[in-house]
Amino acid sequence: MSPLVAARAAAAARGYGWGLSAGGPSGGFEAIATVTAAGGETSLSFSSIPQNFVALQIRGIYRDNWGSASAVTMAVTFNSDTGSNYASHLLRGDGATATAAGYTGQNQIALWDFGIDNTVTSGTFAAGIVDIHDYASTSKATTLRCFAGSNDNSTSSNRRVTLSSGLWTPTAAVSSVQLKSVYTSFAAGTTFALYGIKGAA
Amino acid sequence: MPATYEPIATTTLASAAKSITFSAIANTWTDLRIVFVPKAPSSLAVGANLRFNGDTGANYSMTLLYGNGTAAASSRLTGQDYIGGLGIVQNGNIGMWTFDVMSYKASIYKTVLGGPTADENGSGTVGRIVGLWRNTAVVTSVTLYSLNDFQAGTTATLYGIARAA
Repeated sequence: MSPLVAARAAAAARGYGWGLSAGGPSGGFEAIATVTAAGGETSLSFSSIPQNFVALQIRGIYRDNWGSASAVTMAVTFNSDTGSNYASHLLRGDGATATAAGYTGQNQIALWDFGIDNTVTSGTFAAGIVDIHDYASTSKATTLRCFAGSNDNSTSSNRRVTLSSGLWTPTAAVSSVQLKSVYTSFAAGTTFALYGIKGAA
Repeated sequence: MPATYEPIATTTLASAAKSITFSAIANTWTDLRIVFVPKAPSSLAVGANLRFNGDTGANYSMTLLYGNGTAAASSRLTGQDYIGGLGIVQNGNIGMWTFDVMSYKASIYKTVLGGPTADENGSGTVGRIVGLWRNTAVVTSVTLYSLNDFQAGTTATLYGIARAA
C-alpha cells in the first residue's frame, strides 16, 4: 500500500482541504453569492466578482420551462462577452452509450446537460458543479470544467451524465458570469451558488 | 453561522462492517458532500451504495458513465434501492468515492452527483454518476453500505456546504 493511501485511510478522508481551517467567511472556501430564479428568467448573473480568490465554484440545480421532452444544456459567458471566443468539449453517458464531442469558435460555453425540461415530475431538477481556476489572472485564458446531469427514473436518453470543459480565450480577469437558458427560461426554484476558493498565503 | 465548507462528521472503521451511517444531520447547509475511502477484503469486493433516511424502497435511480481501462461506456438503472454501483474494489485495495447531495433540505427530489474511482494496478474503473432519490423530505441520514464488509481503516467524512444568503 502506498504511503499516501495508508495515510488517507488511517487519518480519514478530508476532501480537498477547502475551508477546513476556520468557519465562516474566513475559511478557504467562501460563499460569495446566490441567485434563484423566480421563474421566467432567461439569464441569471454573478457580477462584481471579488478578485481575491484562486478559483471559483458554481454549484446549482436547474429546471427549464421548456415544454418538450429534451436534453437541456445551459450556456455560460464571461464579462458579457458574446463574441466567438469560446470552445467546449464533452464526455457524455446517456444510459446506453458514451460519446464525446468538441466545439470551437462559439459565442458561449455550453454546460452540456446541466438542465432538465418541464415535462418531468414536479420537483425534479438537474444538478451541476462548475470549477473555474485562475479566473482573476490577466495573463491566462479561462478554462472551466463542469460535472452535471439529470435523472428522472425513466429510460429516456435525455437523462444524462456529462463532463464538460470550456475555454474563454481572452486573458482578462473574470469579473462577471452569465448563466443562460437557451431553451425557454429558468423555472422557479432554479438556483446557482457561487463560491470562492483561496490559495495559501 | 455555519462555515461555508464544514466537516460535519468522520467515521473510521476500527473493525469490519457492512455499512456506515451519518444520522441526525442538521438542516444547516445547502449541499452535503461525502468523501468515502473504502478498503476491500482480501478476496471479496466492496462498492459504495448510498441510501437516505433509511429508505430501502425502490426509490432511487441513476445514469452512469465509466471507463474500465479499455473502453468508455454508459448504463442506466431505474427503480433501485440505492445509488452507486461503480468503483468496486477487491483484494485489499482502496477505492475512493465522492457524493454531492444537492439541495438536501429543499422540498424537491434529491439529485446526487457521484464520482467513483478504483484502480487496482491492472483493473479498475473511473466514472461519474447522476442519481435521484425520489423523495422531497429533508435528508437527515446517509448510509453507505456494501454486500461484503468494508475493512478496518475504511473512512467516510460528511461535509456541509452553505451558500450565501
